[in-house]
Amino acid sequence: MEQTTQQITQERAQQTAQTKLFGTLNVWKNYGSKQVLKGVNFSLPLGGIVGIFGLNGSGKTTLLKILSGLDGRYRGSVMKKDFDDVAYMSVEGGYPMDMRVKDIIRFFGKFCPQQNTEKILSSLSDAGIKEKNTLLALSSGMKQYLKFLLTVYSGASVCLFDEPFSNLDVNMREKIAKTLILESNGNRLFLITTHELKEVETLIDGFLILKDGRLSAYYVGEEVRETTGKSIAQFYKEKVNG
Amino acid sequence: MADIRNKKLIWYEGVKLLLLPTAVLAAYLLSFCVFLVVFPTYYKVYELPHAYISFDKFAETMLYIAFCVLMAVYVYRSFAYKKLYDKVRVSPYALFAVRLMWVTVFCAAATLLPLVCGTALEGIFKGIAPKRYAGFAYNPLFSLLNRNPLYCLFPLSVAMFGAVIAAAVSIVVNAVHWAQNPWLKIVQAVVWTIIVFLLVFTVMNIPYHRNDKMWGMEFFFSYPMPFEWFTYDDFMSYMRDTYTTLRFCAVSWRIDTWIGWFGTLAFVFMGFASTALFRGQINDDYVYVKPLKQKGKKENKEEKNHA
Repeated sequence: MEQTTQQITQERAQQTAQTKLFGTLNVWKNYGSKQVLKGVNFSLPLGGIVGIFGLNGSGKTTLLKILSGLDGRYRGSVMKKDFDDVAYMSVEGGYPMDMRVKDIIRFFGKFCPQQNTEKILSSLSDAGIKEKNTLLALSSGMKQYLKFLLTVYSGASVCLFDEPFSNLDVNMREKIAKTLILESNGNRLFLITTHELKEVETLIDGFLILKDGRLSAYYVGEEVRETTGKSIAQFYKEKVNG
Repeated sequence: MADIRNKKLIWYEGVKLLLLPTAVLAAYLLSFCVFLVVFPTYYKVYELPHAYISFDKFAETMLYIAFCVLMAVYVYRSFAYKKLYDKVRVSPYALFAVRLMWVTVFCAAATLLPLVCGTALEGIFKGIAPKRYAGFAYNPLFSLLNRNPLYCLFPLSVAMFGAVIAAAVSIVVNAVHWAQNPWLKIVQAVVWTIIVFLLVFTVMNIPYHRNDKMWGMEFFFSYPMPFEWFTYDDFMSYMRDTYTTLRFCAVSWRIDTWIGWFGTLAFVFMGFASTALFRGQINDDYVYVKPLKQKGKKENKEEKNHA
């Protein structure tokens, strides 16, 4: 029996209602007199890899901090429908330098029960990072990679990555890209801010541009390439400078 | 968000916070065990009082060291582990409450242990040299023999002092974390340290009449520092000559006055208040859309608006 238009509409409405959504509603943030975010709105279903691009000082890190819950001083709302777990990989440190790698993994394991410790350990071993080392003994690239692994294998529904490719050599960049592809699925959303657009060109499903404190509409990577005939980097450059 | 009922948080933080101070207590206990063997065997009868006083002073010093180490670890963990706990979404209130709980528990234990050991030692002294003990005019800090039963509250007094200092430290740490530029952090650190120091000092030293009854607890409210900064006699004469006593050295808190109790509660409250003021989620909309089971009216409304 064929479904009527009304039934289909109802079904879609139900599906939409059941979809786990992540985003913001009218988020405003200022540092002193400087208004960084001016009513940021976006809403994404869980699943896939999404880039948030913007020039330096456009508020990408601020937005991620707000989304992660690390910064509570803002106006507006962060929307987390039907889930409560968000992991965040920050640019700056934040880990005590005297902690050993294994202690940090254990610490996160205690408070993130879904953490995949085995994968973290095997990835670290592949990268030549020893568990017994303290953070002080790791290079900035190694620390960056450790932070990435702790975030991606946290098991959180939403993972926020702030500049995951900075300070990394080509091998580690490749490893991160591979891991992101392998770990992204229909139930997990990866949000990435980066200036390395070429690095994420083929990685991301879509992207948002943060400019003048506001977010653009969501661009689907494939559609941009097909309709404009330009790479994401070229498209972004035009949008940002235009 | 992990809260105060999170057993993993309680045990993890407890172990990390108390590891070093417990090592100090363990060192004391080890020394006591050795002394327990040496005291009745090695010393001659006329040496016993001196040995006993020395060990009481040693216990006093160990209490100071344990307390200082505890506070040093407390300050370090408050600064260094803030971001780490934020990342795993442990509530700052829960963290403060858990740390406060462990500080009070440790302080009570760190006083109870030498108190029990000191009492045992005095009992042994009395047992092995009763004549010498009868002529012994020393008021040990850690002993319950011949004392008012309320002297048992010494651990409570130290526990309350620990809670007050921990709360005071948290106020400063929270204020420093709140500041976002380095200079402001320094200003916050200096200003809030002065403020909390003056507050603690004031509550500690609210004048009381020297003849007020303290029900046998006066000795642990104002025992002298164990170091040679000034002698015991100097301190006692200072106490005799002054109408009020300025306290700044004893690891203990006045529990015989309402001011002492009210002061403790006020500091703990200020600790939580500073957490809310400087580190709390000012924007309480953050998790306004919760899982379906926990939905409230407001959340449903917001969700509908969004849809």
